[in-house]
Amino acid sequence: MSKYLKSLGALYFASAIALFIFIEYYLAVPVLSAASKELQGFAITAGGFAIVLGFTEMARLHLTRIRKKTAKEWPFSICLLVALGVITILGLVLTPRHWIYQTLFGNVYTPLDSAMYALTGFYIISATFRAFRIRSMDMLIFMIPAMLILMYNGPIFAAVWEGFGPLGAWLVDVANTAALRAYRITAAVGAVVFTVRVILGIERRWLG
Amino acid sequence: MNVALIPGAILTIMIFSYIIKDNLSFKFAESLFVGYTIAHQLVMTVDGLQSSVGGPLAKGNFVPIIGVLFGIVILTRLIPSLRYVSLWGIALVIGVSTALFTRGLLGSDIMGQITGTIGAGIVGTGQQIFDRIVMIIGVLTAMSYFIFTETTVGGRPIFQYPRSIGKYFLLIGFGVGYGMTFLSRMALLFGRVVDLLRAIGILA
Amino acid sequence: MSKSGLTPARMNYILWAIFLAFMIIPAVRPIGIPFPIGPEAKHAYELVQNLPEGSLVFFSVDASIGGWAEVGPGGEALFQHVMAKRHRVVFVALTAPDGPLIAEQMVNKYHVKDTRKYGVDYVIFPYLPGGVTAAMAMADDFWKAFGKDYYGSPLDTLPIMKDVHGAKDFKLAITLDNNAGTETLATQWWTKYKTVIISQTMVMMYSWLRPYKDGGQVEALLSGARHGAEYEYLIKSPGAGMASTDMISLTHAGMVIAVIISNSVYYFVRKGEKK
Repeated sequence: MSKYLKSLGALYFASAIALFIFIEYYLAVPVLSAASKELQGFAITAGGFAIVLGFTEMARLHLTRIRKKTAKEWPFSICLLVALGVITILGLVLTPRHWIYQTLFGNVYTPLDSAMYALTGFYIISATFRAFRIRSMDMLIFMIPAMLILMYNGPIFAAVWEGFGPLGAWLVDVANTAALRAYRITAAVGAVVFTVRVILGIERRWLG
Repeated sequence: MNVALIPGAILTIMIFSYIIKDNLSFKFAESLFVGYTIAHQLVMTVDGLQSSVGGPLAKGNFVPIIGVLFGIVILTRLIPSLRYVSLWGIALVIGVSTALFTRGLLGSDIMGQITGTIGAGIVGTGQQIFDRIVMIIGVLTAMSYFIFTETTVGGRPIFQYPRSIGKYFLLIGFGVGYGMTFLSRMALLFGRVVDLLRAIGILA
Repeated sequence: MSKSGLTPARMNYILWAIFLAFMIIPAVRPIGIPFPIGPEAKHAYELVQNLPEGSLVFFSVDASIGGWAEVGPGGEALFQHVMAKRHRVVFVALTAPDGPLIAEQMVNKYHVKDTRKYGVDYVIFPYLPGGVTAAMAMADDFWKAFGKDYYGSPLDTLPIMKDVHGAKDFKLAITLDNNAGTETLATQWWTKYKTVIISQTMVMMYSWLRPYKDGGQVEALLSGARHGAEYEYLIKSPGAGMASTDMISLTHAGMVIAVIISNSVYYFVRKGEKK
C-alpha cells in the first residue's frame, strides 16, 4: 500500500472529526453534544499518550549519545537519564502527593525552573542598554513607548510626575491594544483557514 | 543560614554561572533540569489520566478505554514500519483540538475583537471619541500591514500610507511589550535573588 | 569603547552588578516608595468581594513554578481573598502540570485546612492534558472530565461536587497564568458560557492579553508582581509583591538613566566621528 493511501484514511478521519465537532456546537442537539463530549474525552486521553513519545525519544537520543560516547555530551546525557529515571519512578510509584516527590519539587525543580526563567533577566539588562540607541525613525517609535512604559511601571516615576500613569495607561489601553488586536484578528483568521483546510482534507503537513 | 534552601541556592548559582561563560556546572544543572521536566510532565499527565480514565473504569464504564486504545495507536509511531497507524490517533487529536480551538477563536478573537474595536461607537467625552478613533485607525491600518503584503500592483503602490501607519502602531505595540518584558524579567530575577539571600541568612 | 578599555563583556558585568545591587538593597533595607493602586486591581478585588458568600469559584493554576515569582504574589493574594470570603473553590490545572502541586502548597502555606474543609469548601483536581480540549471537557461536563479528584476520591464522595457540573455553575473563574491559561478560558469558557474571568498573568503577557480585557472576554487582567502588590495592599496582607515595589522603582529608574547615558555617548561619539 502506498504511503499516500496509508495516510488517506487518517486524513479523512481528521476531517470528519473536525467537521463534526465544529457543526455540533451550532446545532445544539443533545445526542450530538453527548457524542462530542465523548470524542473530547478520547482526544484528552490519546493526547496524554503523546508525552510518552517525547519521553521515549529523549531517552533514545541520550542513550545513543552514551553508547557512542559523543564527545563532551555523554556525561550530561547520563545525568539527564538519571534524573529522568529517578523522578519517573518516584512519581509513578509514590505519586506526586508523597512528601519525597514534593520535597524534590520544592528544593530541586523549583530553583532550577525559576533560575532558568531568571537567567534572561541579565540579558535583557545588557540588551536594553546596548540596543536602545536612536539610529532610525523606526527605532525612535519603538523606544519612546518602551521608555514610557518603564516609567509607567516604576512607582518612583509616579511620585515625580503623576502624568506617567495616565500616559502609560493610554499607551497600553489604546495604542498597544489596537496593534495587538489587529495581530489577534489576523492570527485568528489564519487559524480558521487552517481548520477549514483540515476539514477539507487539504492540510497534510501533520501527516509527516 | 537556611539549610533547607542551600541545595536550591547551589543549583541557582550553577545556572547563573552561564552569564560568565558556558561551563560544566551549568551543563550539569541544565541536564538535570531537562530530565526532571520531562519526567515531571509524564508523572503529572499519568496522574491526571488516572482520574479521567480510572474513575469511570472503577464504576464499570468502559467507554474511556477507546481513548486509551487511540493513545496506544499513537505509540505505534515508535515502530518505523507502523508509523502510518499512529496517524489515526494523531488525526483524532488534531481533528478535535483544531475544531474546538477555532470555535472559540471565532467568538473571542474575531467577533469579540471587532465588537471591542467598534465599542459603543464614536460617542462620549472628547477623550473617549479620540480613543475610539485611534483604536479604529490603529486596528485597520495594522491589519492592512499584515494582509496587504504585496506593496505594489501593476507598478503602483497599494495601501502604502495605511501600511506605514499600521507599521508605526505595531512598533508602538512592540515597544510597550518590550517595556513590560523588562519588568517581568526583573521580577523573576528578583525572586531568585531573594531566595539566595534567604539561603545565606541575610533575609529571614 | 575600546579606547577606555571597557570591553562589552566588562560593561555587562558592571551593569549586572549595579542592577543586582538595585535588587539586594531594597530587599535587605526596604525603602518604602509609595505605589498607586490602579483600577485593574480594584476591579478584581471588587469582583471577588461582591460575590455572595459560598459562591463557586473556578481557580485554575496555569502557572509553572518557574514563573511563580511574577504570578505568585497576585495569585496568593487572590487565593487568600477567595478563602477569606468563604467562597467554595475548585482548583484545576488547564495548561500547567505544576498546578496541583502549587495549589497544595498554597493550601498548606495559608493553613486553609484549619478553617475550611476539603471536599466541602474546596477541592483540588489533577492536571488534565489537552489544554483547549480539557477546558471544554470541564466546561461541558465536569463529571465526565474527571472521575476522581487529586487525592483519588470519587466525585460523588465530595459534597462540593453536587453543585458542580460545568462552567455554568461557576460565578467566577480565576486563572494564574504564564502558559496560555487566559487564552484557553477566554476562547473556550467565555465564548460559550460568558464566564466572568479574572486573570493574573505575567507582565510580559499583559500587552498580548490586553485585547481580551478591552473586548470583554476578561473582566480583570492583573499582571505581575506590580498588580500583586496592589492586591496585597487591598486585602491588607503584605507579601512578596509589596516587597518587590522598591526593586521595580530602582531597576526601572536605573534602566531609564542607563539608556539616556547610552544614547548620549552614542550621539557624541557619532558627532565626533562625523567631524
